[in-house]
Amino acid sequence: MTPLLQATALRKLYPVKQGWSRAQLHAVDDVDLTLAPGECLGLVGESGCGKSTLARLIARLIAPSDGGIRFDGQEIAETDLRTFARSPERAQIQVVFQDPHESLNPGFTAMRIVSDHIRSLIPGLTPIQVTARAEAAFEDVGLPLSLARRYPHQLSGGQKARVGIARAIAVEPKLLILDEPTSALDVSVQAVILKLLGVLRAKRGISYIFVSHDLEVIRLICDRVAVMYLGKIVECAPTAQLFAHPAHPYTRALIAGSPDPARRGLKTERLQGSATSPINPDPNRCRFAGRCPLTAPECTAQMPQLRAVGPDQSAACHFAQSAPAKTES
Amino acid sequence: MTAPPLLTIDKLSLDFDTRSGTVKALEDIDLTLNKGEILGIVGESGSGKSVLSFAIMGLLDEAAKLRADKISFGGMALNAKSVAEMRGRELSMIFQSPRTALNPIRKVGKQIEDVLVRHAPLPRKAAKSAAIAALRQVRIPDPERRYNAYPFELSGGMCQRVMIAMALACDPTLLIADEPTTGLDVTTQAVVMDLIRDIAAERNMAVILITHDLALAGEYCDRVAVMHAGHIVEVAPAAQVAQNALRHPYARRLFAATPAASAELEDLAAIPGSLPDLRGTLPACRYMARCEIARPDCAQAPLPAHDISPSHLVRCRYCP
Repeated sequence: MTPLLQATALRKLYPVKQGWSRAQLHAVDDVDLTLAPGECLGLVGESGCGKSTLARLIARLIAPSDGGIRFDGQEIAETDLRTFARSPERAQIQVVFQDPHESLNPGFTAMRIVSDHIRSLIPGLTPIQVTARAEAAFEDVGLPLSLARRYPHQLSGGQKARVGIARAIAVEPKLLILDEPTSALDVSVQAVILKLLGVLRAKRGISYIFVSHDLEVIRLICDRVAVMYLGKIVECAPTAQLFAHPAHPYTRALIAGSPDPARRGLKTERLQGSATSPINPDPNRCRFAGRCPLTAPECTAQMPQLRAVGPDQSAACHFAQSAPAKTES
Repeated sequence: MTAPPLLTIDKLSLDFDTRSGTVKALEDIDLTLNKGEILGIVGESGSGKSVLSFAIMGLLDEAAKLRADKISFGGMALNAKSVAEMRGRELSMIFQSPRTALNPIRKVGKQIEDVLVRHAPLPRKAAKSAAIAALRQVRIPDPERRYNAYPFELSGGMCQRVMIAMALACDPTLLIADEPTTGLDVTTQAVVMDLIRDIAAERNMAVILITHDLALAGEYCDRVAVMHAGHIVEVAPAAQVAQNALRHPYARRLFAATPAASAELEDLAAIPGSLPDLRGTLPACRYMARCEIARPDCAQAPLPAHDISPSHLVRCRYCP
């Protein structure tokens, strides 16, 4: 199957000043990523690891410093951002932003937020067609039309999240990028939105890239997970495999860190300290070295490359063990 | 239980007079906390968990009307005057979002010193070494250097440790932690929570952990109180959370809505309805309108208290 999306050696560097000299912040560094049609890929990592930057690069909201993005058979990384914003591919890749309270125009009604978006991305529709599409999107996200006449401040957090999703799916995208869509919501509302996303995916056949720092949410909704650390993908595996046999020490620390009532009273080995600086990192040193419990001399002498450690699993660690073959009963 | 509890709250109610009516923020709250115990208060936003901690700390607004049969702490009645005496010393609090709770233009070491000078009280000169010791205690590496750092120079997890150091500087017997790890990464959250748990054990300090995360409370607390719309609907040993043995229909729903408790997306179940408006007249059970096992007499006062075991209390008439 040809992938829907293929990113190769994607890189985003930001120039920063360090005293008098110029330096570069490696937000996303040499990332390869593929996404099959209809697949849901999770991107996890700590804040500042570059997962949102990667999502924005793929959404073409920011320009990469280097690397290519092939979407649906076309190379889109070369296109200038302004040209892309008016190209038909713009409607194909849509983003649902993190905070539903901040990402909706407060001066527009929910209906106008969605229909304006349709009008600007799909030219040539009659007003009736635009309204019909917007209404269909509201129906799909389960928002009654009576609420569509309201302004964002008159809606609850969950309803605003639905408006954000309705806006993105109204233009019938092939790829939906969800940047922490539920992190600002209460658990019960989060449950509603996650289930809605599951239903929408089945109904409309959209591929998702789901950015989150919450592994439990990722576990429920994603088929495959890419773990990021300081601008690099350190492990990528199918969800069940990743949780059952994490190969990279950072993935293991992430899994051990999420709260679990079943681990009451147990002492768990924790990651100490914080990540090293992403500014001009040493290209020959593993980014996780120093914080990693396995740090050895070779970790500071050579950067481990992402390599296959199992059927679909790859990890960037000198000590990643090949996981036992998946035996499903 | 032989020793008298550290904190006892009997029939606490709290109303706010607003222009659009009286908001019944808390009603009929009974709570006890023993020395060295970690109690989790769990609920959605708007359930009253933060305002309850503010009520204990005496940090309420003028518009608040607090009534209680009894609030006692360490054998003394807590009132506006006595709580002001104890605050910062025996009673201490960690707030959500450490970055906004810290003074951005004062060195973190100086801020800890200020607490020590005000509450211990220590002379300025002695306070510096005590502040550095406090930073060392929350396992901040290189505390002498961090003493001179401003909050913006520290990471979120480091700022939260400074907050904890400040709260613990005067050796409190009760620490209230209001969502101490919201906004922190999972790995940092785990380190901060381990720290709070370990220090509580070392000093025999009681902790009230306020959180919206039932899984987090289940892992770190001894007992968990679930709040809904200003009521405590269930108090249970935290081990019951892992066993999915909570009884109240709301507590069960809250657990089912937690991603950590679900094996697959299909198992995840939302809670129907939303929190009731706390103005005007409310039925005795405020969960009634959302509840699947509600019967007409749930509206009638009083809200029943149902003992499953001495340490497990459910406020529901019909739950199994």
